[in-house]
Amino acid sequence: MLLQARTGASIRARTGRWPSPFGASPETQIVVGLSLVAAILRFATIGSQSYWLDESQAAHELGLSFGSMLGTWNVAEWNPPLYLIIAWPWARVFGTGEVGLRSLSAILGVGLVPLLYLCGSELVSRRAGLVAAALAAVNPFMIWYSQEAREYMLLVVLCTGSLLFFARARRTRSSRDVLWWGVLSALALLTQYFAGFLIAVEGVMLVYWLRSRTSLIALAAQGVVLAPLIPHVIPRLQSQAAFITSQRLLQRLQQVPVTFGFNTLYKSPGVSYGLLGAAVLAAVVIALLVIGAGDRELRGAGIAAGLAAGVLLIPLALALAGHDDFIARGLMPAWPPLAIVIAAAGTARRAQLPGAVLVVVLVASFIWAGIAIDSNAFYQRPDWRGVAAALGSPTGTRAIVAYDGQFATGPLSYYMPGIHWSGPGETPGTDTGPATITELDVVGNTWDQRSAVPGFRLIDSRTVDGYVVDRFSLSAPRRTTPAQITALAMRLLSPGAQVRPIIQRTSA
Amino acid sequence: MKLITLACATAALAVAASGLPSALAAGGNAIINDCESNGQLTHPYTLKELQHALAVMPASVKEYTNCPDVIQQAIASAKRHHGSVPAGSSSGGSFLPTPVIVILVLLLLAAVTFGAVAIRRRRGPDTDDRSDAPANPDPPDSGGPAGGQSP
Repeated sequence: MLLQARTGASIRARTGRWPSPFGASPETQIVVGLSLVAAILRFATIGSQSYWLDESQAAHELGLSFGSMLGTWNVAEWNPPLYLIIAWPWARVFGTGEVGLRSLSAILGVGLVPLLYLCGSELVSRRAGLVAAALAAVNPFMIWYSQEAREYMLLVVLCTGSLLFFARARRTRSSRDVLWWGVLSALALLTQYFAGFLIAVEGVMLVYWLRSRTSLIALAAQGVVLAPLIPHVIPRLQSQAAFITSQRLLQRLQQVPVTFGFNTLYKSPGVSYGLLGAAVLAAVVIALLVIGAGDRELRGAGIAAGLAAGVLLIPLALALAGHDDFIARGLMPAWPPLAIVIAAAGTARRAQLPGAVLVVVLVASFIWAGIAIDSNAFYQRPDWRGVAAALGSPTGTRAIVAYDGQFATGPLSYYMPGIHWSGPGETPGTDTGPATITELDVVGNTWDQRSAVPGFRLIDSRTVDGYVVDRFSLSAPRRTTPAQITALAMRLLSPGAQVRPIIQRTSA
Repeated sequence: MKLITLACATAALAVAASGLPSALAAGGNAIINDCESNGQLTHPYTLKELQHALAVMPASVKEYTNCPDVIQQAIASAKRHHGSVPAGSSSGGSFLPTPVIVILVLLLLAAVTFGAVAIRRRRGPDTDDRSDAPANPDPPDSGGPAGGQSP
């Protein structure tokens, strides 16, 4: 009897694929490779940037006891507590430093790559899954939040998991898949309220398609999960975030496509082309899908596009109705389905060459944006760690006036010893009374004007990433109120801003 | 039809958004308000006014907008023009107002969609001969109601 030799050519002839030298399928090997690329891009520079306000707030809260952390969360945080609950034991093991705390998000960010591959495979095709995974691996927006000690990457991963089981439940109609969808959706809701827009659309679609008791229960369970958070939600629904609403809605609308593609390059004047750029991309994607995709690919891409549209348009409608929380990073649950839509267009069967060009152009532009961000401090987080180092050790009890307000005092109080937490959720009444100081330090901007004031001597001046750090010693200890301290600072470095100083007391 | 309905709804939302005033735009520095509202400077300003705007810019504006870059470019331009800069020449952004951009975008998308649908119809039915379909392809009725089927 003649046995057929198991050559690569024979396997290729029988299966239509080349065999793998490692025993894994080519797709698995590519996903592993993309995950490695993602890991390198996320971990290589994980500690290079300083904490900014929100991260320093998380690091401060995670340094408290578990009960105190939840108490602080209730008054100072806008989102549900799941990230803090997961990160608290993590911080006990890895610390609250930049590398230790951000590594949780980085691991989640690497995990997003295979998860998005599974999602794309389930909804569209394996090739689309690979392209979606590749986009996630190199996208600057995903990399940035994989290096952020906040809840965003947990949110994206849980929303992508929810999307995966939503797609599976649609195909298999299995109760198990519906239950997994329910569990992951509930966890996403416990991470950030914005997940609700994706989950609501998914839930309604599932109930409509399956018309089963399980799908109804899974959807209703989301309401049950949210119920204990109602006391936390209501005050936030009644107030508006000034940092969001101070910018006109249409400008924020322009920022969304730029942020999704190029992250902090929304700070460049090119953001004015955000909607036009998105329109060109959308036109190309629509043309490729409608002309080149098979029925199944088109249907899967359509479902993903519908989900993304829900996440983007419901908050927009709410903003127009008067409750405006429309900000790009809050819309992150739309990113995975959008990546799948683009991947479906990039792998459309009857438009392979233009699809491949689209994917190459996108990947190249993501890499270019990543390099642009890494090479320009303006697009990075403010260097409060560097400012704290420039402030150095105090010569006595000193007051620090930072014109950026809590954006500065939050991170500075994290980085500098002997200063009470001075960010959101700080203890009321801290540093509000008079203090006797021997040193006054001012953290201003490079364009501020310095003036000589009798009784103050400049002992050090440094520039850190656009900030001027001036240290003045007083000729004699002076007992002053916070308002007087700020007024003095604004004479030393003008025009300045009416902000509350922070006091650093020496142990001596 | 669904696409057209969605496009119309989006257009209505976006155009309505164009008229929505910023809650805080009325207060504070005029240059910063101008930049926050329009993403660029729409009026002429002197070098001194621009420098003052940069100096008093709140941290949230630095963090969440392109205004520092816009005003710094305007300052550079003002220095080149001996002290003042004409309106709209400082941002480097689009020359079209955002509502016009929104309408153009939607018209473009509608045109592309109609054209692509027409090409697809002329091509005839799809023959799904992909080699990388998942192990369990879609059920025949997966795009619609399940007909009372319970998992």
